[in-house]
Amino acid sequence: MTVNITDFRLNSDASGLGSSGTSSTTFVVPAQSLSTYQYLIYTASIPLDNENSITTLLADISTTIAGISGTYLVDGYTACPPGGTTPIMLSISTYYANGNLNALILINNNSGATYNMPAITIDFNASVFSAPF
Amino acid sequence: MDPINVKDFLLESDDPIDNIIGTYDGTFSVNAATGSPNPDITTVNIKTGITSTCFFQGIFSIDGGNTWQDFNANLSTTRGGNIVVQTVTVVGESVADGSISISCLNYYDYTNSVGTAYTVLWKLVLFARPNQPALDLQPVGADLSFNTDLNYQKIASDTYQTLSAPGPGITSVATFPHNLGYKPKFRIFLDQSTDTLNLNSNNLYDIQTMSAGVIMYYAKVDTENVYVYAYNGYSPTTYTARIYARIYYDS
Repeated sequence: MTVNITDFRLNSDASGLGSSGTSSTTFVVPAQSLSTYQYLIYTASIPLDNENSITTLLADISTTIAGISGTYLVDGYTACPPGGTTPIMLSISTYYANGNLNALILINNNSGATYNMPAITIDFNASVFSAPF
Repeated sequence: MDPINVKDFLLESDDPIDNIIGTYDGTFSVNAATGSPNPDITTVNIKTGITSTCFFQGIFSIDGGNTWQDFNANLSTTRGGNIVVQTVTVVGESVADGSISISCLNYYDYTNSVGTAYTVLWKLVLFARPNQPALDLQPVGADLSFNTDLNYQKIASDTYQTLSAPGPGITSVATFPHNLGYKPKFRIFLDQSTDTLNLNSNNLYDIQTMSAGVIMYYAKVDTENVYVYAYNGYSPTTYTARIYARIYYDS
């Protein structure tokens, strides 16, 4: 059978998303006292280049605040948990700048009173996947 | 090309991987945001040859292609009144008729009292969901997309289940077992049977494109399960969604 090398299918439509890099960073939000409805914003930078690729980010959150600890999927935005079911709401959104994946961490005091927040450790685990754009 | 079954793809094996079924790109020219409405939304609808919903991921750039962001990245974050930390993002929606809807959300920056016009580049990759019906393959942008330098993630579990979210003030959870003994990577997509703001019924979304306060979806993982939560903040209506969880062997 005569075939054209450019017709081979192994290198085209059926391909998956290839993982081309990973990176991890630990960020600690220090313990502090938050006044009623006070919010905090921090930025954690994770060295990772996103040229022509797609990101997946997991955030492993360690805290003694009930209901918030665990490993969450961020990949753009997450809130854990919403709805005022804990004294604080913690949300994370992402953006790339200067060769870093940046995680914007927002903490909101939803307790209705002053809250003495313990330290929160966040271990970020990021991956990028190349797509045939 | 005659419709094909994605299960017949040559790279399908005992350990399946994501099957890419098309890529697209384009440009938005969005006007400066004024704050009314906020965000200012510009949408383009792509007519694909696919006649059902599918998974998708996308990236966008607001600096001419020097820096690329994932869809839903750069998401506006507002607290304490009208503070806006970031101002422009792009989201996607796989429509039940097989088209793909791409929207650019441009927020007014209340922090600096300024609205900014953007030229936004975007790229989109489509890949098959479980039980993807037969389809016409769509064009793929790059000639070489299988590269042995890369790790093509093998799929450990690829299932879906229905999650009902009654309210108000109730959090519901769907549990997807994987039993791998470690925390694997995963992707979550969903469709919802009832419209809410930013969610049209029976269309497919990635989990990060969540409704504005009616139902909030989020996901976490441990060494045994992936959990998908739906928080119904204030609606007495019970919302039902089909939750897709694609779990990989990779940690």
